[in-house]
Amino acid sequence: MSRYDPDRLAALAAGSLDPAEAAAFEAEIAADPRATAELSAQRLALGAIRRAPAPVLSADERTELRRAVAAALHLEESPRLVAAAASTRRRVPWRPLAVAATALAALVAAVPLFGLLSVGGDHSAETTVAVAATTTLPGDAAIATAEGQERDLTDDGSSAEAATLGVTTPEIDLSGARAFGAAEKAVADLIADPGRLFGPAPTDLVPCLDEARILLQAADPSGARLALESGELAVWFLSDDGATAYRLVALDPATCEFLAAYP
Amino acid sequence: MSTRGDADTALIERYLRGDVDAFNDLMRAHEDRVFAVCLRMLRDREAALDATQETFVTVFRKVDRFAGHSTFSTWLYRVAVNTCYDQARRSGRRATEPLPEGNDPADDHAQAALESAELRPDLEAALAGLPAEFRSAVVLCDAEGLSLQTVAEILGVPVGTVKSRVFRGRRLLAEVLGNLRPVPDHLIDEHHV
Repeated sequence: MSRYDPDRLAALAAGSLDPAEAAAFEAEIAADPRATAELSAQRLALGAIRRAPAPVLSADERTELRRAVAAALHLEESPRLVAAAASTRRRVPWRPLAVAATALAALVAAVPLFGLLSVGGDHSAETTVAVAATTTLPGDAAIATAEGQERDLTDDGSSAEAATLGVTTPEIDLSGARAFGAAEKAVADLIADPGRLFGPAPTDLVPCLDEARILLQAADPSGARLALESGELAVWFLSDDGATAYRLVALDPATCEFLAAYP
Repeated sequence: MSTRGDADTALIERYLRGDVDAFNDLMRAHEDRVFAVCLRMLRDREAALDATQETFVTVFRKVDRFAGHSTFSTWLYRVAVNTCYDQARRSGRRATEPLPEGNDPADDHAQAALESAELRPDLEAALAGLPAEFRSAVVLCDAEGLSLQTVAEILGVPVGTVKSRVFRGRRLLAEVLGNLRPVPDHLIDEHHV
């Protein structure tokens, strides 16, 4: 009865024996039909597996996978997360869209805060709100407000953005956008006059740290809880010198909704 | 540790510090291979996507407890394989089957059968027909190209057991792919089982 070492035979089939040993072993088993049949079987299986293309995720599956995992981990608020997943799919201004979509939710949830942030002028509103409007307002009039933004989104794409971010996009009008612009201007004023950011209040008493870490892409931002006339702001920022902030986000301390950011 | 392992360790540290880009990088580095393993284990694409998702959620939730005793990818594969086992068990899909105990003599015309490609079923279907323990060993070793030692760590079994499972798994696969008649087990040394 034939007996042979399956480890050596498997190694021979896999091509992992050195050439001399492989030749000798193959000659040794050549007279044994069972051994040669087994060698053929091993080579057949191994060859079929090695030739088979590896399964890969489709672009949509990849996007959905990352979105689902991020949602389970509560990372879905991150603009960069979605942007990276979609980067190979199409050219879309993900980051402003993500910020704007978050801001839209804030408009619904935190409208009372805008009153306390009323500062004249809206030139610093950038384009995030206008881009948000393109996701919900049909027609060129809305799109025309998105200065400098890319316009290669399809209708299907824009609705997909909102779905990906888990944000419901209510009908909005541009007065809401202007209010949001005022909020951003208020943040700009804080940047220009940052004294209130560096008060004595301990950072660990400021809420929404997790959200701020994601938005600022930093593990240890500094925080300030600012009491204003009719409400409060949770402000998180990055500073190199302890006197000025080079990045900043303002959040509703009750809901941790994003309100405004610098830059 | 490998370059990939070093990169993974650095990414984990960044992720634990709140850097979401590290999450993206870890996903990008491993999602296709984890999905490939899951699809070859479960065959069903939707089930494989579910298992891939569950694998990454489990890993990221526990990554702060990753002690680095093995590489991140080894740990990731281990979670993936166990997730597939669990999912197959839950769904009743491809439960572990006993190894067929054929006593027929080996086919002396293996080469001819090898060339009869039109008779071979799809490789994925053939893989799915393997007992789960053999399938995981063959997928990790032959499809993913992992070393026997690494596969042993992933499956939590001795290297000799991996060798045996790969060997017997290949043989069963060849029987399906090439219409070979089975080689009796008693003709094979079982010293490493």
